[in-house]
Amino acid sequence: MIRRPLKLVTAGAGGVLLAPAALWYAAFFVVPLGFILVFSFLTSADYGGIEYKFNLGNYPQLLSAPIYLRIFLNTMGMAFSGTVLCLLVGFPLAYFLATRAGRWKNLFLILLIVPFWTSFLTRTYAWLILLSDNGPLAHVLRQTGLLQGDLGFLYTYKAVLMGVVYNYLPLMIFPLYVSLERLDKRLLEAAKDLGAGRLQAFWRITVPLTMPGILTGCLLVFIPLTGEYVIPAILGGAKSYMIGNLIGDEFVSAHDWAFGSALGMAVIVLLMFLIAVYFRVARRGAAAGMSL
Amino acid sequence: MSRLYGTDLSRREFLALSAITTGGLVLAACGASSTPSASATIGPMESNLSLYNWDGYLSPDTLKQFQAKYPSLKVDTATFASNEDMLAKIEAGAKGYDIVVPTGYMVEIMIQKNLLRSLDFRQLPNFSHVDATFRNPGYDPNSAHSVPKDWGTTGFGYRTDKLPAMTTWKEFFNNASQFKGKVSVLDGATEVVGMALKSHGFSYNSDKDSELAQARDTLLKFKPFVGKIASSGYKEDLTTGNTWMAMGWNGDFEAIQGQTPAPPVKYIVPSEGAELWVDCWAILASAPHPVAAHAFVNFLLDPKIQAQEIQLTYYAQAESDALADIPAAIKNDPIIYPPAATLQPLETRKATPAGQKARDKIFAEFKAA
Repeated sequence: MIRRPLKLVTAGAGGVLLAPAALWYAAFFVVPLGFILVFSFLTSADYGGIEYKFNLGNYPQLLSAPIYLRIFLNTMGMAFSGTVLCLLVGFPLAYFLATRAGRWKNLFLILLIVPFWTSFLTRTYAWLILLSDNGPLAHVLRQTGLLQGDLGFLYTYKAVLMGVVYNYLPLMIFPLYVSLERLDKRLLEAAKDLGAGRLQAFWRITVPLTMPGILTGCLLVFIPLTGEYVIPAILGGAKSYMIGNLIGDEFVSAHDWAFGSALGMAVIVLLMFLIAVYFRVARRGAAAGMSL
Repeated sequence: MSRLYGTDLSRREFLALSAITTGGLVLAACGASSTPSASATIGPMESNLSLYNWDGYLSPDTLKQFQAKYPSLKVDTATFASNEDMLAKIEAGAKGYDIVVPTGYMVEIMIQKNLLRSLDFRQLPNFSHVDATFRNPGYDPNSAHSVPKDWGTTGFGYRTDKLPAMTTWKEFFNNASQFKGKVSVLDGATEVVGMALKSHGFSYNSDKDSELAQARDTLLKFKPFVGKIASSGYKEDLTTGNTWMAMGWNGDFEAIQGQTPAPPVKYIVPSEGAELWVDCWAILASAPHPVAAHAFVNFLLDPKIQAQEIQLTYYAQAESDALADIPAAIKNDPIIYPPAATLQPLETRKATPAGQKARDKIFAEFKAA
């Protein structure tokens, strides 16, 4: 008799807490997604817009020419390479911050955030100037005799990867840092006492215990990278055409809204599949790690 | 001074993302003022006017003079990045704009879609200054929905200090292999596929499968050497030397040569021919302020204003009456006013949905290759 009203009260409070986010997501995520889903089964009008005529042809069109498949593969390859590079660069830095930075730790963390005070676009455009064939970097390299001729770095795939690592690195570092910070250092001491070398302790204690941070960091970098549109457009020149750029062109230049919607849905389905696989593998890996 | 000014602005100069950042046009309150109008059948002058234009495509002086003439009128401006971008936004239901600046082929599309308002020539007495050649264009019979703003050519320019003299599209596509990564093309399916068609001697507007297939082959062979696909920034890249050869619009190359010191860049209209385009003033069917919009268009058709505009854009005007006020350096410049022999093989763009689809597909393949 007494419990019931209490339950009701908490349920009501829960609803109030959830309402703003739920409404927000319903209006700005679920509804637009619904439009995209519906559009992907309709017909594009000439020069843009949608005709309300049922059409199953948009998805087969994806497979009709090898270019679309290649763009998907390029994009996944770029997202994967970018994520691995971020992990390779980010892990040592996060490790340093969590274990060696001492009283400078907070300063380093602030320094990591400082670039975000400037617009992402401005920072990416700044690389255009820095990496230009006659820019400051090329100039310094020529002065020191390290470079003859052109730098040839701008408008290449390398430039895109550089831009990706530069922009996404903090997304990797922060979850890694949190995991490493929480790591119980006594476990490492115990491993040492039991005869493990540094490397062995790292692989069998540090890596498994910080796996949640690694998994989160990789997801945080990989997922937005699959939709990355700006960095390839600015730094990649003609050399990197990603799925995000294709979708943008289908809507704005090619006026094929229905096919653009189908492309968008295909990316969502592919990502859901990859993430499901990712978690399954990760869980199995974690279970294997525990049993060691 | 105006030359220097022109180097900073360009007809089609824009950030790739301006479509996103300028998206929100603030809808001005539309309380119509009670200013009495000249004619009883023409409605009263409104209190607002909203322009939707390319970036840097209207002289600030012109706007100031227009405001001085109509002091009670509040004018705001939003910018778009490409014809397609503009169409997409208008079609998606963007409201509140009065005036747009489509290129000829886009005028035709917008007329088909009933997006443009029939012009009331009683309110456009200055239309009498427009040259006869521009009065009944193929894209808009009898100029019923548009008046010419300016016109120009799409060709290519190259660094004369790095490359030998060139005169054809064939050379543009074939020589690129010798300077990998130093070539840029416009980010437009019609332009890029059209120029490849031209390099084979076909029509810019060809819809024949066999001809389009040849253009596709040319483009896919050409692609490995392309450094950049963009409609903005090629001026800067040519100036700094990031790019040695770029497809682009004549006014932009004129602006490059106006810099001091002038970079060694030469613009040519290839001998196979190229695109001749006309940009137009048009009033949207949904325009909330048609009287003010007509007043604006009429003001811009004043030959004195035309002569002022050309000193910003470096694009030729459609009024011989304006020539008297245009500086000799501009009106005698063959880049801006090409000789008849150069103009002869040029074509304007004709839109057909099927041809456009084919071009979009080839262009997507080109980009992904």
